[in-house]
Amino acid sequence: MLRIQIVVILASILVMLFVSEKVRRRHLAVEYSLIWIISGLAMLFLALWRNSLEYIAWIMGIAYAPSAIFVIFGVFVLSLSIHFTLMISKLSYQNRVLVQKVALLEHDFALLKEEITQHGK
Amino acid sequence: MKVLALIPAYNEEKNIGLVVRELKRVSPEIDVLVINDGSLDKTQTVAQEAGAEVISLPVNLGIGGAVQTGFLYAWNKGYDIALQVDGDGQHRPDEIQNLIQPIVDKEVDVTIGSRFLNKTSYQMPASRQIGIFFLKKTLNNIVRKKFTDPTSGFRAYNRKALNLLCHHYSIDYPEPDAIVTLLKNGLQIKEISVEMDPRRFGKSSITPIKSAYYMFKVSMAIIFNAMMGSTWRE
Repeated sequence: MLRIQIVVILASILVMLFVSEKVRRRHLAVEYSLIWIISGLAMLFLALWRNSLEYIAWIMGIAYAPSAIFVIFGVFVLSLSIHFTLMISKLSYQNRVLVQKVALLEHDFALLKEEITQHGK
Repeated sequence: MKVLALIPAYNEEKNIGLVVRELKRVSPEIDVLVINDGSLDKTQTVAQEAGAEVISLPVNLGIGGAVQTGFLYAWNKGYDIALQVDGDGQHRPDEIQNLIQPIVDKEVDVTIGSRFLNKTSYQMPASRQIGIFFLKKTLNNIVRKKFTDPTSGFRAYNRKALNLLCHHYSIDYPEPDAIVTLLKNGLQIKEISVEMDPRRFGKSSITPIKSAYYMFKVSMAIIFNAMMGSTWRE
């Protein structure tokens, strides 16, 4: 086994342990941890089976196999970024609705308190 | 025993009136709460006119968020038992007593109404059947029990279960995931055989494609939940 394979295997295991610990401590939601676990497993797979990388490179029409890693990585990071922008859009929308709702509720609440103190007099 | 029926509803103006009225007719001693999950139609008014308490979420959260809102309501208002009922009329009110009794008798913490425990007349499209089969096998292998209807939302919970689920309930795929959460924290679950009807009006928000994607995502999530579970204590 090449040294690079050992390095990648160790790195994948470390990443997965890190993510698992974050989930356990409730810092990372289970839904979003899945993508990282799957990535870690993919990295592990590529590291353990050297031929898989050559095969993937051949399918993509890339002459120099290690370049395929960068392409895969690039696509992965791009998809991740798109996913994040989608999430952020949804969160922004929900946030705005909440802000407006709170403002309107506080206003109604203040009016209600006024009414109650008026009644008390 | 104070019992609350909680009904999550999204765009169910055609079904919700009947569901609420049937519930109140068969079990008048049970309070009914409809959680309006940001419906775009008249779900809120129809539910209110039928005599239910209604909580309207300002934003659509999905089934997990809506049901959890119901749990919070039940917990805060001091209910002893919370009963989850679908807003599309598939769950039969006359099965409620069967579902609640084991909790009243302090046999278990949670009961699940299963369409498949005994042979019932319930029919489902093939695509969903395959998905549910795969999901069921995954869940049963992980928790080492034999659940027959893990996606059923027809459930009753006691306060101990409410306390847990108020803090830990999945947005996307809560039903099977909650089974893992409950078992990991030492709660007892029992399945009760029930009859269910097909949906009366409107369309389910789960399409075949969503169904397949949902099944895959849920399977992965419950595997992960189970792995984390053993070190997961409050």
